[in-house]
Amino acid sequence: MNCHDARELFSALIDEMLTREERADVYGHLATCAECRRELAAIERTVSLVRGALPVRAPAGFVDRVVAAARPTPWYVRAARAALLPWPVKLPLGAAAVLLVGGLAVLMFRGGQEQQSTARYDTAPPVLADRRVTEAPTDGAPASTAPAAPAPPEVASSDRIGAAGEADRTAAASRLDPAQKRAEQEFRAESKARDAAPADNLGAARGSAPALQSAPPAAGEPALAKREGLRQKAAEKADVIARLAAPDRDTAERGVVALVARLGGTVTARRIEADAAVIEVAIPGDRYGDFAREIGRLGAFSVESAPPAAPDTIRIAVRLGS
Amino acid sequence: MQEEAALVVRLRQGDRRAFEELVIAYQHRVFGIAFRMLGNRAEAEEIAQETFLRAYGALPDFRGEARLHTWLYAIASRLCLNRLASADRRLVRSDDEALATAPAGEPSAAAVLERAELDAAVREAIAALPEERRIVVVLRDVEGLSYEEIGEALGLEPGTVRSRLHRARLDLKAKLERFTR
Repeated sequence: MNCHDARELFSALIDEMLTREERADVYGHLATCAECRRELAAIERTVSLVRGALPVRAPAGFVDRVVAAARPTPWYVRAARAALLPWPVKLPLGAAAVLLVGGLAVLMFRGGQEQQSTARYDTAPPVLADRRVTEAPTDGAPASTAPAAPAPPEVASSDRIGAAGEADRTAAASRLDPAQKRAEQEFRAESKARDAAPADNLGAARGSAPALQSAPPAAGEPALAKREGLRQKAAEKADVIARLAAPDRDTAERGVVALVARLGGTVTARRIEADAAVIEVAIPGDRYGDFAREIGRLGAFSVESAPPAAPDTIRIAVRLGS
Repeated sequence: MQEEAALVVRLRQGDRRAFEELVIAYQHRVFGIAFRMLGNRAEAEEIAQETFLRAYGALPDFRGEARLHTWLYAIASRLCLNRLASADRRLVRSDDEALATAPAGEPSAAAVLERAELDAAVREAIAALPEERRIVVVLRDVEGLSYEEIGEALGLEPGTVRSRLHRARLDLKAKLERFTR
């Protein structure tokens, strides 16, 4: 064993980590090499210095601080820490949350519009059923006619139909299958004819009962949007939406008020629209027949929307025009 | 050994008093490792506290295959080496004051000065070692761990421990030569 090999083992020799053979070889070399003995002694003293260094002591109160830090953190402290996240962390998280919420809102809004359009058109079956047309199967098979379905319409449903704009109808019609389109076209044609006919004729067509059938306004008129708006406002409250065309609007209005009072009803509201006055009244349901008959003496009376059956107290919005 | 096993059982049961006993028993040694590795008392306290908290959180996973103190030293060593490797570590300055030391009886003024000078020299020599050698010499010559325990704590083979320790001692010998002649 030479000096280099022996010195490589000095550290392990000090720690008594050599095998018996290695130790014998090192001691054999040391017996003949004074320089290596001095080197070994220097390393031993160095190790002794390090091992003899005074111990380091932890600062006072260290144990208490560690034990306190190990206690479970109360929920409100954790929440406060979460709220006080550093900006570099909180800002990207906040931005991501805003984007997520915004995206969801857009998706929900778009879905809602489509569902609304569908729902509006889906409320048509009461009218379509009255026209003896059933909804075509969704797989595109031809529509079939069916026996007259019992008229189930709720007033609210009729109102929703009336409230649906012409644009919605057009848009919805573009998504219809041929059978539904045909039914819609039939419905529109008959509606136009009914609008042109006196209300009493419609009432006569149903026997002695007054005309209580929903009917959309005539399409294609310039004032259609205003009319639809008026209908929608009145439909929020009135059971019957009607129109009274008279040469003198004031005279007709006074006549309506007197008629309502005579029938035991009352005027609930009055408002002025751009081209007409709208008077809202409420009368007993069993006097509606008298109302419809006698108001015809004041002018051309037509019903635009009405429930299938008169409630106990029927609310009527009459649009007075010339 | 039996006391340590009983302490481990109590620790794994979530006995908070046992955790306090653990901190009391090892506070100086864990802090000493951190201080000798980092050279800064505030940073050493932070690392020592983190060591005990990490141990507290990992106690359910402690299977007792290693000695409790070896496990603690392993955590402390990794935390120290990670801290030394961090970028913001370069801004930390070493404490210049003397270490808080144990009382040493009634030595003469000259002996006190001589001892203080020697301790400062040893501390500076250790601090000047490369990190991978420094941790080995601290664990072996200051804390007294065996080669196997050091290898277990640092994830090193015993031969690597032996080699690094030898190089560290040769470095120290060169730096402390005036005290070893």
